[in-house]
Amino acid sequence: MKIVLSAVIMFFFILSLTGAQSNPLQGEMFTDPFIISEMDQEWLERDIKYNTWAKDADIAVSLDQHFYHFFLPFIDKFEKDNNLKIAVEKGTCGISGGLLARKEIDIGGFCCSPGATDRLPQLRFHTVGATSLTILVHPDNPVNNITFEEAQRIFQGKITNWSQLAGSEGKPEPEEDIKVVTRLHCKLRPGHWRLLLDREDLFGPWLYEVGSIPEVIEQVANNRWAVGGFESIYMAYYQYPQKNAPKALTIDGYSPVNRQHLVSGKYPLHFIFNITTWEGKGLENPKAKELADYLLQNVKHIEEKYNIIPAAELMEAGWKFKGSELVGAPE
Amino acid sequence: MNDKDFTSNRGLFFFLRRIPITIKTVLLTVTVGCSAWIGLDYLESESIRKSLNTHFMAMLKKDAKESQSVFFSYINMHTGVIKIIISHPAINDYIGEISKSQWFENDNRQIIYHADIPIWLPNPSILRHFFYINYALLVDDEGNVREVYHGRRNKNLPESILRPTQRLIDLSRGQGHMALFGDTPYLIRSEYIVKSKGEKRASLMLVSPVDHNFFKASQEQIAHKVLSALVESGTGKIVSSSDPELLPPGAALDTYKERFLITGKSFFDYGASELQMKFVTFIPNEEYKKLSGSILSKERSNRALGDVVLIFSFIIVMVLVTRNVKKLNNRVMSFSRKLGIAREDVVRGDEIVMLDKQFQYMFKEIESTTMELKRYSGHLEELVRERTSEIMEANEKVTASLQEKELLLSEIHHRVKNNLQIISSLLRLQSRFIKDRDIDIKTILDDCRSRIRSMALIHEKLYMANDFANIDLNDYIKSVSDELLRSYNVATDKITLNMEVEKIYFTIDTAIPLGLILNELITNSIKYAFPKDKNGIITIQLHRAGNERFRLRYRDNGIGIPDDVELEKPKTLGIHLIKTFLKQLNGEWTLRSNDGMEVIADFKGVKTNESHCEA
Repeated sequence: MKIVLSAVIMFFFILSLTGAQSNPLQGEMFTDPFIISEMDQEWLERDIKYNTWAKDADIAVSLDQHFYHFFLPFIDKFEKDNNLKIAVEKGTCGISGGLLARKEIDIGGFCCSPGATDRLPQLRFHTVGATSLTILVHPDNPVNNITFEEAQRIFQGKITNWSQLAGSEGKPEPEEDIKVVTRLHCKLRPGHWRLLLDREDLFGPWLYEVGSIPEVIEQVANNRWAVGGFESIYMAYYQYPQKNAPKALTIDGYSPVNRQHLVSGKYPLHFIFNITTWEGKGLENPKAKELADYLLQNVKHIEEKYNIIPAAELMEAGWKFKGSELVGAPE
Repeated sequence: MNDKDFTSNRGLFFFLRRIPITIKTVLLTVTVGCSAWIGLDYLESESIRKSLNTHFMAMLKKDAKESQSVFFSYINMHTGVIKIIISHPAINDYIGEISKSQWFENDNRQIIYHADIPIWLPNPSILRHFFYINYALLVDDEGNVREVYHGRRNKNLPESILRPTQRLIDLSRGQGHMALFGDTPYLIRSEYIVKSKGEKRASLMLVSPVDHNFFKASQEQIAHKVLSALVESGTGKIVSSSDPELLPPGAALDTYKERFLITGKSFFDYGASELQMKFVTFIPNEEYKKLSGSILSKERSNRALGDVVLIFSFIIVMVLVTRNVKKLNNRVMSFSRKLGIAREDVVRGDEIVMLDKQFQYMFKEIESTTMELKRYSGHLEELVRERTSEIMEANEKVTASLQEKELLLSEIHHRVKNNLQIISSLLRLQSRFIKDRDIDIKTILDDCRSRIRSMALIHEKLYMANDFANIDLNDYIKSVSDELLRSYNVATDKITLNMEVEKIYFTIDTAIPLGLILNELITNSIKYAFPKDKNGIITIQLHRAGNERFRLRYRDNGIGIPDDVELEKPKTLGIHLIKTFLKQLNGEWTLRSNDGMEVIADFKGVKTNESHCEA
C-alpha cells in the first residue's frame, strides 16, 4: 500500500516538476530529474581522467560560452586563493555534455536545463540562475512589443509581414516582409527557444537558420526588417556589440531586462544556467566541489550587465527545486 | 679654455676636424638619407603590410565566414535529407514488411552491406539532388544495425557506430551530432521510423566521416575555395581537413601560421557537437605575399628615387651654405689677423670648427680685455670718487669761504655806503651852516654830496643785490637820476627823464666812473639847463658799440652849452671830472649844443657775464 501511495505521490510530483505547458506549441521547460541516461558497465567503472588540455590541473572545468565570462574571475580568484591549477575550457552545452560523458572534467557548465542525455549516473546539476532570452529587432524598427502568440506565429512563418501585427498605439506596423533569423541550438535540451516553439518542425520554412550567436545579432543589426531569436541580453549587447545595437522586444508588455518580469515568470523566454558536480568514488573531486559551492555562493555578486537572476532569488519567488537544481516553474 | 682645444691633434675628433665641412656634409647627408630611407622603408613596409593584412583579413574573413556558413548548412542538410528519407514510402514499405525480410532469418544478426542503393532508400534520381550519402544504417528496434549502405566507401565503420548505444541514437536524433570515433570525427543523424500509431520500429542513421571528402562536398557551392579544418580547441591540433596532404590530421595549428592566414574560428555553438572543435579556415598567404611584395617593391623604388632627389637637392643646398661658411671663416681669420689675435695653429679642415675655435679665441680675448677694462674702470671710478670727494670737500670750503667773503663784502659795501652816506650827511649839515653869501661853497658842497651819494648808491645796489660784482646799470642810472632830482628838489613834473639803457651789467670799476659822469651831467642839467619856468626832458641812452665798447648819449632840451666852455681846458670841475672818469674808462667824448646839451661818450666798459647776472 505504501509503495502504491508513494508511486502516486511521485507521479504527481514529477508531473508538477516537468511543468506541462498550457500552450500546445510550447516545449517543456525541464526534463524529468529522475530519468538518468543508461550507461554501460565500462563507463560506470571509469574514473575521471583529464584530457591533454587539463593535464596536471587540480580541477578541470568546461563552461558554456554564456557564463564563461562572469564565472572566470571567480574561478581565477578561487585558483589564486587556494593555490590551485584550474583548467577552464570555454565551450557550449554540447561540449560540456560530451566532456562529462567522456568523464574528462569535474565541472560542466550548461546554458540550458539538462536534456535527458545530459543526465548521467552520479552527475548532479546545480542551478546557477536564469537570464532572459530576447527577441531582437533592428533599432529602427518601430515595433517595440508583440504578444506571445504573435511571436509564435512569426517564427512559425504564419505572420510574414510586419503589417500583419496588431500594431501599437493605433499605428499600423510597416508593410515590410519579416526576415526570421535564429539559431536552433541544443535541440535535445528543454527550455530556451523551445519555450516558444517546441520543435524545429514548428518553425516556418522561411526561417534563416544560422550556426552561431554573432550571426544572429549581426543579421538583425544589419537588416531593418529582421527579427532574431533567441539570445541573452549579455550576448546581444556586451559580448557581440553592434554599431546598430538590436532592440529587444517586450512580450505581452513584459520586458526581458526587467528582473521582476522574469522572476515572476511573466516574461516567458529564458535560459537556465546549470553547473554539474560528480558524486561517487573515482568521480568526486573535493576541490571541485568546493569550487562549485564557491561559484554558486557568488552568483549574487555577478555584475548586473549579465542580467542573471540567482537561483536563490528564483527559489524565493516560488520556482521549484530538487536539491539545488531548478526543475519547475512557479505556479 | 685650454689651448689644447684649439690645437689637439689626437683622436676621432681630430680626424673629423681635418675633413672640410663640404665633404662632411655630403657624407652626412648621404648617410642620413640612406638611414632614413632604410628606417622609413621598414616603417612604411610594416604599415603597408599591416594595412594590406587588415584588408586581406577582412576579405578572407568574409570568405571564411561564407565557408563556415556553408559548412554549417551542409551539416544541417542532413536533417532535411533524413526527414525526407524516413517519410519516403520506400523505407516505410520496407520496414513494414520487415518480418518477411532476411533480418529475422539472420539469427546471428550479421550486418547486410549494400554497395548499391538499397530498395529502402529513394531512387538515385532523388538522391542525387541531396548531398552524397556516405553511410546509411538501418537499426532495428533493439538498437542493432541490420543493414548498411556504404556506396563508394569501404565497409569499415567504427565499432561504436556499428554497435550504437541508445544514447548515441538519442543524441543524434533531432540534431546532427558530431563525435569522435577513433581519430576521425563523424557526423551522425538519426531518426526513428515509426508505425502509424507512433510505435518505433527501426531507426535510420546517416553517418558521414568528417574527412576531406566531407569538407570538399560541403564547399562545392563556393566559388572561392578555402582550405578548412576542424581543430580540437584544447590541443590546437587538426582533427580533419579539406586537404589532408597540406593539413594532415594531428598537425598543430600553430605550425601553419607562417604559410596561411588563419581565420574564422568558431564554436559549433548550436550545441550539437560534443567535441571541443573549431571550424578554421586557412588561406595561403602566397597571393597576399606576392601582392604585398609587388606593392612594396614599387613603393620602395619610388621612395628610393625620391630620396636620391632629396639627397642631391640637400647636397646642393649644403654646398651653397658651406661656401658662405668658408667665406665667413676667411673674413673672421682676416679680421683676427688685423687685430693680431688670429690663431694660425688652429687645425685646418672643418671651416665651422675653425670658425668656432677662432670665435672661441676671440671671445677669450674679448673676455680678458673686458675683464681688464672692468678692472681699469673700477680703478678709475675709485679715483673719480676720491677726486670728487676731494673737490666736494674743497668746494664746500670754498663755498663757506665765499659766503664768508660775500658777507664780508656786503658788510664792506654797506659800511662804505654808510660812510659815504655819513659823509654826504656831514656835507649836508655843513652846507646848512654855510651862509647865503657863500652860495658857491654851498653849491660845491652839494655837488660833492651828490657825487658821494652817487658813489654810495653803487655800494647800496651792490649789497642790496647780494651781488658784489655786477651792477644793473639801468637800475643804477634810474636810482642816480631819481636821487639827484630829489636832492635838488626838482618837482616831478618839471623834468622828465627818458631812459633807453640796454640790459648791461658792469663791474664796480666801470659803474662808479659812469655813475659819476652821469651825476655830473644830470646835476648840470638840473642846475643850468632849465630856467625856473621851463620844463625839461633829459634823455639817457646807453648801447653797445662794438667789442667791449659802449656809447653813452646824454641829452637835455635845455638852454644849451654856454659859448665859453672849453673841453680841452675846462674851467669847471664837472667837465674836468667827466674827462677824468672817461679817461679811466679809455673813453672819449663830444659835447655840443643840439636844442639843448648833448654829450656822446664812447668808452670801454668792463661788463660782466650777462647770463650769469641775469640768472
